[in-house]
Amino acid sequence: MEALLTILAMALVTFAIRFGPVLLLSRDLPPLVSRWLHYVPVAIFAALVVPGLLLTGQEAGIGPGLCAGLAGLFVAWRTHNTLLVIVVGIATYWLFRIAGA
Amino acid sequence: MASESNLSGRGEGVEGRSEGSPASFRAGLVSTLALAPGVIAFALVYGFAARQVGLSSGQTWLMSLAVFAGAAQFSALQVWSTSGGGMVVLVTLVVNLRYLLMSASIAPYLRGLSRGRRMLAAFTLSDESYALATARYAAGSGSSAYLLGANLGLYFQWGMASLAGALLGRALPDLGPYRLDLIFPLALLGLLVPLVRNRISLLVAVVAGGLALAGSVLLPGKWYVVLSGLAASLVGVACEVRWKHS
Repeated sequence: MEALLTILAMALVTFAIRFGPVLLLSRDLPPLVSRWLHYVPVAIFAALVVPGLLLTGQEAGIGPGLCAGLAGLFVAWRTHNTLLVIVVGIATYWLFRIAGA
Repeated sequence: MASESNLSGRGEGVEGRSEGSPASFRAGLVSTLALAPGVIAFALVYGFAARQVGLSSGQTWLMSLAVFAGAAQFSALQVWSTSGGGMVVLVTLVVNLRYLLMSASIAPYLRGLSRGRRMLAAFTLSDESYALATARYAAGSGSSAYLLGANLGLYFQWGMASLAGALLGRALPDLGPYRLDLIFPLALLGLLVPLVRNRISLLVAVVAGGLALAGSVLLPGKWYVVLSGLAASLVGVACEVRWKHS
């Protein structure tokens, strides 16, 4: 039940963000707000990615997660292919985990 | 002629408020076919990964149909198992703030439409269909029908492939020990890297990552995600203002 309510609340805030400006805005967003919104995705993704790779499931230390992240970073930089980032990242994680064990 | 509308949110002088025809709606739909392989693969991974954090197939599908925001869905799932619903919603909100920009920039083009159509166009807006439609407007051949076609094409792809991914996840055994939770940060890494286009965005990413690491030790729960994200994005604006005026 909580999962369902969470999903519906996610849907509600997302719709409010997407429809709010269409409904209410009669002029441009203030330039500073607009510039700030440009940086929000970069910042929030980085804030999720770094601890997500380094700190979750620490039974193997941060080494394998760090290597997975660096390999993923390289693939993302060269290919912009998110699926390849996932596959190479997880493969690298296990490679270092097994090699390190 | 439609004026160029880009992410800076400027839509003044818009004369191309054409509603378009069924043909432009179809053109919008068809234009999303080129994106289908990427969208479908990403949605399959989403559906599969959502099952791994414990969502049912129905919940997984509902999230795609009701929220329809890939990056936010991956972000929400990354914090899902360790946070309450309020934090999941807050992370969703911050990840989706960028839609304020897109919505503001298409608002002038939708003014002629009925309330219902405008709601539909806003509800199904996505990064990809926004890019397709604004490119059309910039070329002078844009219309709200084209935008709606592109929106709905992507909505259909995302919805169907999410369901397929969830059913695939149900068919497979529990893969918990294989660290498939790494799918979430890795997927977001794939979305992050193309956004790092200059020195300031690189600085923002580094500051956000560093603050998040420190915050994960110092702050309760997942507050570090939201707070370091907001702080680092403000650092970006501050740098921009400072460097522009120095």
